[in-house]
Amino acid sequence: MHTKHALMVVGLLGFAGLALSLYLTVAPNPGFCDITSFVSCDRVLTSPYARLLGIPTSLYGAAWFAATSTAAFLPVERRAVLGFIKGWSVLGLVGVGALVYVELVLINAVCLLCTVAHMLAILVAATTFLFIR
Amino acid sequence: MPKKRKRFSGTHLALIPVALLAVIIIYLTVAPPPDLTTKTGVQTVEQGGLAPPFTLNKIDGNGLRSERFEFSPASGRVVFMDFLHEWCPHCGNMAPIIERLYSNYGGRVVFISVAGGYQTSPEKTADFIRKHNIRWTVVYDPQLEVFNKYGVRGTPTYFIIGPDGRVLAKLEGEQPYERLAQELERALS
Repeated sequence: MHTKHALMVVGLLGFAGLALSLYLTVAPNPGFCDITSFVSCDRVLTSPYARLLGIPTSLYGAAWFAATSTAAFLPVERRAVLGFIKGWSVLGLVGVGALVYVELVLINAVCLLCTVAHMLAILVAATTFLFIR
Repeated sequence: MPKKRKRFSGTHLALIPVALLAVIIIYLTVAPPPDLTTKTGVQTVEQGGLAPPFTLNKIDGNGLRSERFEFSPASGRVVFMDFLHEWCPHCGNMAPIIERLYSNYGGRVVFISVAGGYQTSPEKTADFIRKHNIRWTVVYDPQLEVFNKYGVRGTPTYFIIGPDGRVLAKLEGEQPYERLAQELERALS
């Protein structure tokens, strides 16, 4: 994949992640997301870990995806953008790792919609490191 | 000479995500959603503390009633209080267990359910009451004021309150029947 196309993919993945994170921030918990007591958005999103410093955790995700998408679409000097996206992807992967740890170990429940957002972040990082030169 | 139309550039596209984020942040600042988590600065009850009194409207299978229910914690009887939301699947899972608990302890323990009004309506809550055949007192907390007073972070949450009004147990999430029965036995002994 050409870098130009890879940046477009990163931008679109970032936009999808932004939409999902904003949905998780403002919309009610959808019923389909609560399947068992372990697979439950409700348990995760109403847990004490659903907020960090009084701000919904999903809003941090939204900010990460917004910055990713903006950087990928920004028509500026390529090298600076690529450097930013690579560093930002590492930060995103660390964040995803921390959130998965919180879900599995501290809350003992998994939120399906959050997992989709984590997958999008991983896809952003994978596209960045595999195709952006 | 025809006017040159401005083209939608990459800069415009790049600005959409940050603009969207900014709009949502402004919206959340201006109209923050009701919070299920414990608010800072609000005195909440913990095990061993005194349960706060409250007054709320009753609700049953027919809907919200005008009748007010006044809860006085030091009633001289053990109280089992259940905080729930009609949309919460764990509350639905627990309904048969609470019903069994009521069948076995209803004569010796006062049962009260506090149904929250977050992302729901009295009508939907009345459906839940009908569906699960809840026979004890249910009150409706539209603004989650009692939820916040009791420090309820999620549903279901159960409180067992002693005859002197002290909180003997606070249990969060789904619980096996045996655990709840054990706590009630302890409170009654």
